[in-house]
Amino acid sequence: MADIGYVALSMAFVLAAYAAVVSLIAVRSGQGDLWLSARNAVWAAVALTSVASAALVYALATRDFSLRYVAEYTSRDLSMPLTLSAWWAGQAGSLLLWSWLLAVFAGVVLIQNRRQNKELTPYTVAVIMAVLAFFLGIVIFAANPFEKLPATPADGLGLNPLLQNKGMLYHPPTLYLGYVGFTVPYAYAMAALMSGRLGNEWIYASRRWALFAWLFLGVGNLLGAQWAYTVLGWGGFWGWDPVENASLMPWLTGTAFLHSAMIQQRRGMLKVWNLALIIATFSLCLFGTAVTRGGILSSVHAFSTGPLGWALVGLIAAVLLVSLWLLWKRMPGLRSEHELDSFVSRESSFLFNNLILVGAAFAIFWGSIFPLLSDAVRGSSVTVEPSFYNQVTGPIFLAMIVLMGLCPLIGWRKASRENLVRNALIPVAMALAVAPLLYGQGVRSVAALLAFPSMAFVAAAGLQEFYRGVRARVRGHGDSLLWALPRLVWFNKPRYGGQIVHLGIILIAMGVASYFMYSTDASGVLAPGESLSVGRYELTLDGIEQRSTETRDIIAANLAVTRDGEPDGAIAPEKVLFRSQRSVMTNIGLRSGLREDLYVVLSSVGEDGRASIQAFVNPLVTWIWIGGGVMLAGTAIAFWPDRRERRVALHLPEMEFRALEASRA
Amino acid sequence: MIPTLPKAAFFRRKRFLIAALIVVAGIGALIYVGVRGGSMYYMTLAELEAQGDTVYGDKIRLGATVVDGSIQSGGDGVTRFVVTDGTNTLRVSYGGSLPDTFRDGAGVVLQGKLTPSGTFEASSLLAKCPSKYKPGE
Repeated sequence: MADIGYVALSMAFVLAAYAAVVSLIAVRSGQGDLWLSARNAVWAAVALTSVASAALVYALATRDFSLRYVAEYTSRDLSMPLTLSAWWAGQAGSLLLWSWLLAVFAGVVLIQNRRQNKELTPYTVAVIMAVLAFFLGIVIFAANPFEKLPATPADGLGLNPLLQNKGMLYHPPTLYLGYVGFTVPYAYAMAALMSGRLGNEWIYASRRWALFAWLFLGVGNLLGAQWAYTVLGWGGFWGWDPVENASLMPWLTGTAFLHSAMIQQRRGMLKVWNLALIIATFSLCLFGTAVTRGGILSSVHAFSTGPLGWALVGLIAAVLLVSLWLLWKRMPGLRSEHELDSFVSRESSFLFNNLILVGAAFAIFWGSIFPLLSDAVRGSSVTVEPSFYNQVTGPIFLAMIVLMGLCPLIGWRKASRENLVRNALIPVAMALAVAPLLYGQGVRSVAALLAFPSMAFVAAAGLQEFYRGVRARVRGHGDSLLWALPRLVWFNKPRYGGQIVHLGIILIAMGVASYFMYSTDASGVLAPGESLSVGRYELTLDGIEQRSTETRDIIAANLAVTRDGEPDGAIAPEKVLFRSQRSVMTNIGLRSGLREDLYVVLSSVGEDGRASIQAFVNPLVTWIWIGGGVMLAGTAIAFWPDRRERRVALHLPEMEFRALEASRA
Repeated sequence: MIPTLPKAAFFRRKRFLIAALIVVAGIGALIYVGVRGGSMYYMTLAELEAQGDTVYGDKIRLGATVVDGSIQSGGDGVTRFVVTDGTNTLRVSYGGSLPDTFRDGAGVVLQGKLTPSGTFEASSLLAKCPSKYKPGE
């Protein structure tokens, strides 16, 4: 099986390179039979990478320890789902997953474009196949998952206990879907530049891909945060580690792209900016892969070091060089079709939102590579503390939130003052109502008094949109109140899906801001009967309990909880010793609620039987995960096919399309 | 929307450019201030040794390996251990809670200060999170 896998990968590598070159020749020379041959090569690459992936999964499932990869990441006592998840536990497997996803995406692109984008598609496929060939090249020559061990061990080394968690099953692949997904919009952008078809075709073709990649990157980040929160046991979910930063940056620039692409669709502006954004986003995805898998920055989760990181840096350099050169060459064809009509307009508020999103990504990038920069400039490596990111991104994100509320209030092209005032009245009133309310609750920090009212402003602005839409439907179409809302959303999915995403983001922002501003913690060494108080809780150690299973020894601290002085059940954080691997893992005691989480960690148990306990009260953290769900739902709605796209596909302006629809009805 | 007289494109652009510049300058200032306040030296043990007493009290980030058998947890919640880079060694004290990956031979990233007594007082401790487990020798 393993040999089949390796042979399949080698053939896929050759075919990917072939498809890349031949698609280009085919479209340049206009030879249809060459294009057919290239397409066949793509399908063969899809099939071969699938065979290789199946071979690896089979080897994992049958615990074939003759393969180094299987022996290093799994063991006989590992459950089957986790054994299969070892596909993405190590470098070689992760890169195989990357390649397979990319090959499948190329196949989907071919299916989507059977009848459209005849000029763009060969270029798009060529770019995807070139990237695929690069990754397959690394897999074959530097990180072969099918490498054999000289002798087959009786058992494998096993998966790192920290990874033995259900988060392992879905967090890494979700993130990879995002990273790999952005290859497709990038390929369309390059296709536009290479073919000289610089209009909106590439934007339309890549919108859904960008949305898809953006969603998975965002959800992947949230799943990672949740994993860190529930498993790692340091009380937080985000540590501004380079690996975390690396997956946040393309999400930020991707968010900027989704917004600025709308301006190009509507007004034919920002063409160069859109191309630059997607080039930056794809490069940041590669950078993220380089940081995670290549270890080019010092990080607690940089999983490996070695030549891979620098190969990827080389790829990023090549991508930037070629892309920017093409962009430069095509500059004269990328003129805006319109000028900015007014300073106070939807367009200009989108531009500021873009500027701020890119600024946030840049600040994070600067912080992440600062050790490398300072080493190069001053000869000593200087890192920035997590507080740097909080200080710098706090105000930027605040500005972003305010703009998020403002954007929908401002009309396209030119907003009249009266209109703006009328639209903003209720949201501003909401913000002004929340501020004294918070002050009355004893909130004194300026940051909190700015942040939470701003969020109320955005939420009110978003809800007002829905309210007005519903009202218009009830009055105009005679909808019943019950049906007006779903119909409203259904008939303009991108717009209202986007608004739902905004509401989800606000929930996330609320949770994140309250965590960073109002999380409290306490720690103490407790003998049985002694207590520790944190927030409105008091924890009393009832006793230490020890038990053993087949593979692990578990020590639990049983703590009685009182809340506001009233008895409120018990909580039992644990320490788990994996006997075979001599490694320790923490099982936190977590009680989640909509208002706050009580989060208790057993740090250690002394020989005198005293337990050292660390406890956190984290307000509103649950809303981060709820906001993630809302964001997912909103994106799914925006992703769904919409009648507007049919109009676009028919190349009709709105008025003519309406006339056509009306004549049909 | 109420139509108004079109202003010169140049003027509109200028207003926009000024506002954009303010945003960019603001972000730049935030980064500048942030780096000044929140940066610390990332050193190896050898570099720290070479700096001598000039770095007492400076915020330092240090990457090293825990010396086997050196970990002592005191009753006061403070953990004391020794780190090495192969040639140099340094005593460390740390009062926070320890990550699960912290043990003999683990790679650690410490943040803290070097005190005149020669002990490194760590305020934060990160242990490298290995994606695979290698058994101890």
